[in-house]
Amino acid sequence: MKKLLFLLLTSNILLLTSKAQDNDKIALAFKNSYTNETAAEYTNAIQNIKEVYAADNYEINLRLGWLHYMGGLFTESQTYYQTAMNLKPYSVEAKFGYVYPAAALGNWEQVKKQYVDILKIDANNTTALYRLGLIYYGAEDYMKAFTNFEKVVNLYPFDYNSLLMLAWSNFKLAKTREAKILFQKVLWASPSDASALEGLGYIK
Amino acid sequence: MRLILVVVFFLQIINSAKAQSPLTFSEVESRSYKLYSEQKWDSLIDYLRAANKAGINYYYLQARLGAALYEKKKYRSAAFAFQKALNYNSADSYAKNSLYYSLLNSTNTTASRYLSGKSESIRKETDTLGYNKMGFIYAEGGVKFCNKKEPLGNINYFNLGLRHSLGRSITLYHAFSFLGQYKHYQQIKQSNYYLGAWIQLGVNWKLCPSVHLFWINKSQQTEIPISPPRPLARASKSNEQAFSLVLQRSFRVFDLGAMASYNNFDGIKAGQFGGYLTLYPFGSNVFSATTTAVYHTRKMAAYQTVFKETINFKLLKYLWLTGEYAYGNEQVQLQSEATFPANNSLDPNNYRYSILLTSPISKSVSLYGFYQHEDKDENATNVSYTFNSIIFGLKIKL
Repeated sequence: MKKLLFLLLTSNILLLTSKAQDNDKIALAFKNSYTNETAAEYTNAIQNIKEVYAADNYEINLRLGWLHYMGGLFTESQTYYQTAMNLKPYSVEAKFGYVYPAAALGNWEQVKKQYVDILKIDANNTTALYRLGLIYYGAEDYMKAFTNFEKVVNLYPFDYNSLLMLAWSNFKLAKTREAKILFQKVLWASPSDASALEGLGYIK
Repeated sequence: MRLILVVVFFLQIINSAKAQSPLTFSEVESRSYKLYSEQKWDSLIDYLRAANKAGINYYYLQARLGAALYEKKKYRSAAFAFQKALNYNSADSYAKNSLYYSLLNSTNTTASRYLSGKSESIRKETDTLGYNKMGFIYAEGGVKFCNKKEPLGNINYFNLGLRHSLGRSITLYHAFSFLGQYKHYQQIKQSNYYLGAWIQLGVNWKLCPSVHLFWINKSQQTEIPISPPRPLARASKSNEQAFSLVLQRSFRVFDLGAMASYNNFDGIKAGQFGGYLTLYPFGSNVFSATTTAVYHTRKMAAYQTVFKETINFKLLKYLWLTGEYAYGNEQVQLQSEATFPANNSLDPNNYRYSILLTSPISKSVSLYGFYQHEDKDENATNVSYTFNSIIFGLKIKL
């Protein structure tokens, strides 16, 4: 019995020691990667993290996603962000990360999907609402754009960017009275704003 | 000598290994951008296709591939590349407009018009080019010369056609034609009305229904034909109809179609079922070859399965040739914009072949000449005879 207890204790200590050593390795790898990233040495930064790579580690995959994006390796970046998303499906952070390489590749359908997925998790995420609104606006789907911008303005009534886009969405939907009021509010936030003045010019 | 062979052998291995080293995104992006900027279209096409095969695919790859194919006038292939680009970025106006022009330049005007209906930006930028409600007018006429004037006779033919669109997804073709056969003991006059439609169900899908109505007037026979003995035919009027439906799916270098038709020619209800494959090996309309196979439900030896081969190519800068050979009696042909879409003759074809030459003489006007040889058997007597048709026509873009 004593022997068994001794064995259990020893193995636990060994396990804890080994985990602590792993943790130290990973922490050092991250530290070195930050240093290399600051110096724009992305290949070295990637190498730092790859030395401790584990496919089931969310943080490592997330970090590699970012570093590959910064190094211009967009498809590889997407792969790591996707792995991170698979490990933590409710991670809004990983989805926002994925958006960067997807946009760089011109894969806007994938970008849109990430924002839609983010809003399923966090329905009032204003960043996703605003950016998705911009995508819809660019695609001339003004109704959907309006819905997104309206939600943001409801939460942040005096936010310049979303007020302006809500004004333009109203204008495109021929709601000129609402658009006029909104453009005027934009001018309170940003006097002499060129875009707001342009919008008001069309309405007059 | 042995040393040279060994060196050559190892060099080949090295080159082979180099060629097989996997492409990375950054290599593809930088090299393809360089080739694109330098407008080296052939190299860009080969390189991007290799990258795609290696599993690399993203918006800019497809957009650059489309641009290179477009510059090489491979408009059909370019259209498919731009469609793939739009899968990555459905709102991109460059890819949308380029797709529109690729479809237009590959003479797929129904698809380009359909696309313009889906995008306000395309409509704004291109409405003066691709969309006009009135499409074309056709006028053609000719004679079918019979080698056996007794008891048969030549047939005079005249046809007037109009193609126009109904909205941006539907194109209609109307044809009014008249045939007159003047045997010395009987006259047969036939008036036809044909209505065909192209319904664009998507950029790559077309549904083509058609209806063909025939009004036939036969005069009283003035004397009994030579053989076999039979009573004098009275004057008669009859109506016949034919209906067909074609569903076509377009792919990068081929179209695939399925067809079904029904007719009541000679008072007998019959159907035809079949399909066709059209190949565009060069990714453009410069050359195409269509193979058609059709099965007849009419249980007579004369109505066997029909096989047809059609080739279409640009012979000269301003001259297009379409050659066709059909074995068997095809009663209802697939939609065509000119000549007979249906063969309601009592006497079935054994085979036929034809040549169509088309020449655009200006931006709006094309002239065409058509020759067809039909080998037929007379229905009652089984006597073989031939028709040689010569038809000339004019197509005016409105």
